[in-house]
Amino acid sequence: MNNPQAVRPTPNPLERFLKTPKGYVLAILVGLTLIAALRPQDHLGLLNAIVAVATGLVFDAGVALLQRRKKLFSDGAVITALIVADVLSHTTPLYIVAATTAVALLSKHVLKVGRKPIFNPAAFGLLFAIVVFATGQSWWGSLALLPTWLILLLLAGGLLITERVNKFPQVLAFLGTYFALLLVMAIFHLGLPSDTPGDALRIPFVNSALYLAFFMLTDPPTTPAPYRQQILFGVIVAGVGTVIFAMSGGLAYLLVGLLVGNIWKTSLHWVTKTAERRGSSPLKKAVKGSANAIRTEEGASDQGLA
Amino acid sequence: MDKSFWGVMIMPTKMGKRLVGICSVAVTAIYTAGYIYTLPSVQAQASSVPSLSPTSNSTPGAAAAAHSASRSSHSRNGTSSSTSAKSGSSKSGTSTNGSSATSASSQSSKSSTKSSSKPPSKPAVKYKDGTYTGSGTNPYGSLSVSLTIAHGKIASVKITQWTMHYPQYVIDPQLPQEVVSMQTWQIYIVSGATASTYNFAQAVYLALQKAKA
Repeated sequence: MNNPQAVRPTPNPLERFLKTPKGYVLAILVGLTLIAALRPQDHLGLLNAIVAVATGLVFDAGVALLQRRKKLFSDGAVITALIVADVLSHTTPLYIVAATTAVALLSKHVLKVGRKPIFNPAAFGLLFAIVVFATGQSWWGSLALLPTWLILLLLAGGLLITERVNKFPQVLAFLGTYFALLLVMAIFHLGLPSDTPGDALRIPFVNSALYLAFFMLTDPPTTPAPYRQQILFGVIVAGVGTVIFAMSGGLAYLLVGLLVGNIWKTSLHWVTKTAERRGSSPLKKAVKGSANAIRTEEGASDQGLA
Repeated sequence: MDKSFWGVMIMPTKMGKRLVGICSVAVTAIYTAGYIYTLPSVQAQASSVPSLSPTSNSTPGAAAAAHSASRSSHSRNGTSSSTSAKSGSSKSGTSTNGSSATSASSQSSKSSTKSSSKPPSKPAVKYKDGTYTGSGTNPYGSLSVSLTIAHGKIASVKITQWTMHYPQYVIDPQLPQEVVSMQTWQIYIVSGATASTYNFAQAVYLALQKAKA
């Protein structure tokens, strides 16, 4: 009789990849993009996605060649490219889609502390596109323009990812704070007449917030790992975003909030590292404990989704 | 548990499913409270702003009427499938020049205008000469127009304020030119910029209402 362990089929590389957090994210993003593209007006969004992915792969392969790395295929680039394509309006010219993806990935390679990027690459690229190219955003990949019940798919996919990367405190803190602040805005009649809390709480805008929470806020390299810091991060992103929404409206507020949160995370990391290096302060033991705990948790959850 | 820097409590294990469930219910409750609280204001807004849904004709409004009018005129001229054709060509148009879908839209509208013996709707009403303003608002933002009437006809339309979530070039200068050439607010829907088209149509309609003799 054969040894059962000897005959157990080894999972193929694709199967193994799909079981990683990156694989989860990629599979769910591809699924959402394909579903969103079923809407006739968004068929062209699929072309945007293909161009973005091709740009991302070529860009990161070029960087890998420059850095003399053996692995040329970048799954992180595909994820960033898909997020960029899912957010940009399908009327966006293809060269702007490609440029936005390239800027997003450039930020990942250039703006970093140690090996970790400071900013969420997709959020950075999209904000850059808004400021420089004045691009429109439709967040069509969040199924915002499809029948309402399809939001359940967004929620299901998002919850799967959140569970996989252990970011529930962050996502729930963000959504809880965001919705609570919008309620406060509504109660006290704050904000602009053209961008009301009522709008933000409804389709299509609530889809944007959910998409950001599930697919951009959960990026391990640019967000903290310890639970308390995750909660603070979520509160900061939601707080900054809502204040910008109340003052200027638009859709960039979510991206700005996330990027401010990224800066907070990096500065916290930097303060911790600096204090650890000096080592003589009364906080030495506490800092060491924190740093060790952060490293432990980051090691567990940081799968490098960016 | 470990007390660390900034008084941070580090929890080494994953958040329990029960706690996740409780927090999710709390977030849902906050969302529901906000949704219900804002319901009256959203409903009030919906009654004053034309529906964005192309299939919904129940809400009276300029843009909704503009939409149905443009649909019927497209059908009349045998270009009922022009929306998809427009979106198909809009991509190439966008990649070569900045005016994207609007150029394709104008081509289709021009061709449909040419195929008929006279413009789709000549203004039956007389307008007073002068400059009038109108604005349109929907969940995607707002815009304002300044419309000039000379010798009883629409002489020019300018977009004076734009806070839509889409770039202005999606409809400008195409739709203002259409209004002048067709002498009506019943312009053709720009594929990919339906909300902007509706707002623009509403703004022009309101300005024309003011200009009525």
